[in-house]
Amino acid sequence: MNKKSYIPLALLILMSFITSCERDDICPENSMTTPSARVEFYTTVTGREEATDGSHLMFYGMMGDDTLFRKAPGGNYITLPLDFEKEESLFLVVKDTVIKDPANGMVIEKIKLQDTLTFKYEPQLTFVSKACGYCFTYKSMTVEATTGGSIGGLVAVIEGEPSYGELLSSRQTVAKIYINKKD
Amino acid sequence: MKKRETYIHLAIRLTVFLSLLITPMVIYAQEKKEDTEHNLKSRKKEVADSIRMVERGMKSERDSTNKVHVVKRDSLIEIKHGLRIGVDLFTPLLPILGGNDDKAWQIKTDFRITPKLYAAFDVGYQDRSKDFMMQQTRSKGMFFKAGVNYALLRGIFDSDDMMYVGLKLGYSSYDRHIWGDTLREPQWGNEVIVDINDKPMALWGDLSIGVMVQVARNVYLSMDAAYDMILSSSDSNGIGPMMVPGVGQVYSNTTGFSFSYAVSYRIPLYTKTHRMKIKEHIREDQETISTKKKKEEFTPAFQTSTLIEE
Repeated sequence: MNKKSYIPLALLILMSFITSCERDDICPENSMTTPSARVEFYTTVTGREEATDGSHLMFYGMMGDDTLFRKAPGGNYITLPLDFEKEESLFLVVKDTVIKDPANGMVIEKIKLQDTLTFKYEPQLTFVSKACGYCFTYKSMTVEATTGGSIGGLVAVIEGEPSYGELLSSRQTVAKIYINKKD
Repeated sequence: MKKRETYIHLAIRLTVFLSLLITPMVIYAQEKKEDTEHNLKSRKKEVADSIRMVERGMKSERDSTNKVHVVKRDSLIEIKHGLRIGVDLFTPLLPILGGNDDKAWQIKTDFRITPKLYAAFDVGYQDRSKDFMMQQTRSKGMFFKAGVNYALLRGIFDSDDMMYVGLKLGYSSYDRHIWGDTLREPQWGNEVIVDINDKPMALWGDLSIGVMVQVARNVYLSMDAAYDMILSSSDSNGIGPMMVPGVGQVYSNTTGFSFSYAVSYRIPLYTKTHRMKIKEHIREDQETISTKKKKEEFTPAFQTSTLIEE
């Protein structure tokens, strides 16, 4: 080996030291975060399902008997945060409605129609990256609802990747709610 | 905090750079010195040989030069074998540079098997922490590296200075603590503080390049830089290697860079004669080169002027 070949070799090693910078310190914007459950609103118009606005629905998160928060959605879906310290999250779905006298159209009574939406899952602490830290993901996700009040029907779906029943992203649709259009 | 780290990194890199520059210079100077000594010796020998030739009555100069430059390709060489034990000076220096309570040491050993091949074994301990943006980690444990070093430099047989490449397999099973990240969901009042204690394992390949110089009888200074590649790692939480003893910080779960600067002592054990194939550059004598040139010079039979005259 030639003596002069020390210099490029030394430079090569030096280069490897310089290029090994702290890339692990930056957490990209689009990194994984704890997902929320996305629920879409539909209605059935002449036997055909159609995305609908659900802004008249109100969602109350329930922790035991206490309602924790209220969220009024706009648009055809809502993303509901889940309680990752428990294995289920319950939401009260409320719709204000008025009962009118069929004869004269006068409002007789203002009532609240309500249903319960239940998410059951296994929260899992998931490592994202060195810079981003951790988030929770949910396994074995199931959705149940009492119907007949504000909710006319429910289709629980998690069709997004990577597998059925696994919630990894807020973009995944967890459930479709069919709103009663009786009134 | 961030700024200080950058300064530390800069300081480390500067040290690396300077030592990388200095060590080859030392070797180069030493080799140059040896070369001139060697040249002097061989010239003296040539003079003595030619005198002897003249005395014997051999007048042909070319004959005498041919006899002097016989290339021997097979040679018997006596080589000292010994166990070299070294202490890494760089690893304990890192915490001092970083100004934290990290602890680390490393012992490097090698044993000469053949003139060019060394069996190498390193053992060490590291207790190092690293502050990532969202979380902190601390890894502590022993590590082991075993493999070979192969000398690259020619002329290593008479001097023990060498430049070498090393290929080793490293293993470490260490205690890891990860903490600092807090996950919150304000609407549900959730607050989970991440605090993980586990005992992961890592197996890695270590490709190194280094130089070693003898500074005193049986005392050596060596420096090497290694590229580490994680071959296999196990941990129950699926986090992957973050800091591995013997590797340091692991980038993108696979790559690490380690560095060592060691002072070693060789315990001489035995000397053994090896049959070696040596490639020697045939150095042509100045006189033969000049005679060759003279031969090659073109001398026309006629000068142009003479042709015109005719």
